[in-house]
Amino acid sequence: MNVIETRGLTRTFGMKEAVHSLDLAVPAGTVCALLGPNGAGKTTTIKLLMNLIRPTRGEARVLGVDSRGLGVTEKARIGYVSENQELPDWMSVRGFLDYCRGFYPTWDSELENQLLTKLALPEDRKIKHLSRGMRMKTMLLAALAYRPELLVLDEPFSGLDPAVRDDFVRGVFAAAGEGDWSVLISSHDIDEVERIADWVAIIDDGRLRLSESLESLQGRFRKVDVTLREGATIPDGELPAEWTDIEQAGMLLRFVETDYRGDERGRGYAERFPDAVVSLGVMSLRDIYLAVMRMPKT
Amino acid sequence: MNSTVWYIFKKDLVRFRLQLVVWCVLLVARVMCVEWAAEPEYTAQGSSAMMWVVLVFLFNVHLVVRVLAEDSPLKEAAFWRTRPIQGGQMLAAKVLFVTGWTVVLPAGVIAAAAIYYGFTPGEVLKVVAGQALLHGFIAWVFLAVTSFFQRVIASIFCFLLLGVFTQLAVGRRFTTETVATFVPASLVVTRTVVSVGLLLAGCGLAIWLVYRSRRRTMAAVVLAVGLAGMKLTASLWPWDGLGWVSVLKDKEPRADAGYVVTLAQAEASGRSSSNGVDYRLLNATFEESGLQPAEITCPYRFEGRVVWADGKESLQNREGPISPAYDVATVLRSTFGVEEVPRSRYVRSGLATVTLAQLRDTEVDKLRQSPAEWRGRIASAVGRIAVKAKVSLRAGASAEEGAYRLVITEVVIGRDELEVKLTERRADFGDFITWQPEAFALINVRRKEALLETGGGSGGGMSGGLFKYSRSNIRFSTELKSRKLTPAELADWLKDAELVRFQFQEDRRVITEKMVVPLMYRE
Repeated sequence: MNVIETRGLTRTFGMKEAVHSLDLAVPAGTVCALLGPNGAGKTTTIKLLMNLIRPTRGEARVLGVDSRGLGVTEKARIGYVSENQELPDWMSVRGFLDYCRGFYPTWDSELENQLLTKLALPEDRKIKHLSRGMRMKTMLLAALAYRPELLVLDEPFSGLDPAVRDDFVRGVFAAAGEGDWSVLISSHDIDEVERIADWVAIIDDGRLRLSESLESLQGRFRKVDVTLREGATIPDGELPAEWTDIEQAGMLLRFVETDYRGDERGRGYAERFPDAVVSLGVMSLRDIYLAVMRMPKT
Repeated sequence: MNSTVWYIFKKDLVRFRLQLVVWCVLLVARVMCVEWAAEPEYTAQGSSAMMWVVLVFLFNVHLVVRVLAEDSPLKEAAFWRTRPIQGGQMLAAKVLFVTGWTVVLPAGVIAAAAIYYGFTPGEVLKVVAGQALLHGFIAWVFLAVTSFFQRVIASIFCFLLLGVFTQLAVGRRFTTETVATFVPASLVVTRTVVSVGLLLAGCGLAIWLVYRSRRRTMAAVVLAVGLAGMKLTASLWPWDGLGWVSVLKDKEPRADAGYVVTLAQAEASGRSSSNGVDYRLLNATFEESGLQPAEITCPYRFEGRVVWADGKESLQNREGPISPAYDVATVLRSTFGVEEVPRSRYVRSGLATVTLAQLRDTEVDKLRQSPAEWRGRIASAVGRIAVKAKVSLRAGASAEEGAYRLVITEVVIGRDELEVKLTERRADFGDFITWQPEAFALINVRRKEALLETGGGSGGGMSGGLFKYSRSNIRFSTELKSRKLTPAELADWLKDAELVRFQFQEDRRVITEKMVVPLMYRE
């Protein structure tokens, strides 16, 4: 079952198409990282999912409900944290949590206290006097304490120092570890995201480039270094479409294999480069992301 | 009540607790000021009422903008939008809070005061309803416009636009008098309720659309239709009932509105020791023969009989043009008499006064029978303690050149003062306040004396004692301070009076312009 499912989701702002015919499916129980460059449409997609804006075309289903019809029941099952979200600044952290508690029947005060300690939040300080990192942690706490089925994080690491990021990630881990939660997280901070994500969706220019599990992604992407023998040349003929990010420096040919299938592929390299030394490397999510972004748009 | 609504309401209550306390203090102060102002000087209420309107205005701007901004219906980043709160619940909480603040709270304070002053339950209800309507109307208009624009400046701008719009809508088509003359009072009240009710309902629907479904376009259409409806029904609006549009009252009558008014009467049975003699103004009658629309004034004839304490009587007969513009208080005083309706029991904010007074059945019948009664020209107010008589002449005079029109509002003969209240008006814009350094004075060239404004008070009042007049300056003279004028002397003094405009130059009042004004206050 998918917690998030979009079909042909499109949103235009005037002449600009921020999200174009997005077909995205996020399976339940996964931590999905929504990656993409600035202006790719990540935040717009999240706003569409949260019914903060309405789609121009297509539909999105969140927790099995059309996002346009998200009601009180569904919102009580969704946690939302965004760097842009406004908070009642005049409240203290404690007051804010007390205020939020009233809206959620599933609010877990024990978990709230645990997170309060873990995230080292000053209860009596007013929100307007909190640093950016503390604000984000407060929002996270308020989004986790009622154990939502779906946690949506929109650029949660933006502008946070490494220590706070770590606190944040550990907070998500701590809460997610106790239940079968799904998380959708959009971020530029790929290294941080890689620690928690097990599903990756990359959008660019409003279009979905890929959406699959991190395991599958890391399984099929390989960094390939081919060291040719002296005097050897790259064989004529068209290179496979699965090769991308191709570079050549002297006798070294380097590319990214986007469809690695173990030994079968290895035999293919040996046939194509009979006298060369071929080495394969596992790629990080960051490298995969960059490789995908360099791939020609279809 | 839905627990979520109540929950949000309580949150706002905590959020705005400080403002709430200030508001309560102001409300109580207002009620106390009304009582003070009512005795013995009724006119003092004018400035306090204006201050109150300004305060209500500012507080409503502050309140509505802040309350809506707290949980904005339009901002995508608003906290509540991603929480399990329905738009309808949020709307209900906000409406509850705004209503409580702007309607229930003022009405409660007024009700307490009314009960204290011995109002009957029915009267309390009417006064409270009037206050609630007045405050609620302003608040709701703000609520509507700010829910669209979310900006203070925009909301004020829209409110001003609304004011201009209504001015244009009503324009010169009808005077308040015309409406009130031909429309029975009960119908006026009904129309007030219906018109304001419809407007509030329209605003409410617009806000609901914004909160509930965020259909801004639809909401804008609803509001536009509401405003268009206002324009269409503007001629039916009883403007007297709404204090904030009182500026509309002084419009030219229709060309065909020249009905004949026969007689209005008022009596005052006070005693005074003014100017060394006791007197009683027993009977004053007023007569007019019809309106002259082009002049904005109409001829009148005034007969006053003063019986002095020593038994001597003096008659005062005057004729001249007169302004058809009257404020509610004057009408009430002239029509119903101060003895019947003690002023201290009124909250003089327009609507409440009218509502209470208009619903006095017998008086309403009187209005229906004689339009002239409504247009009573003479009012006498007798203070309970400091005995004082006011002869409200409401006489007007037009300058030959320029748009100014000057109206002597009343002549006050008090224990130690002689006061001529003068209002400056412009034909197009209704009343406005004269302010320093420019003002007007009445001068008597022959006697080298002048009557002019001495205080910086509002209302364009020309008051105070006599001043020494010379070609280049008007200055106060201690010699003239002790001088007392009897009514007859005053009339005599005014015979040779001319109107001048002067400006202050440092400490001197220099006459800059002499206006040829055919003053009507002449025998």
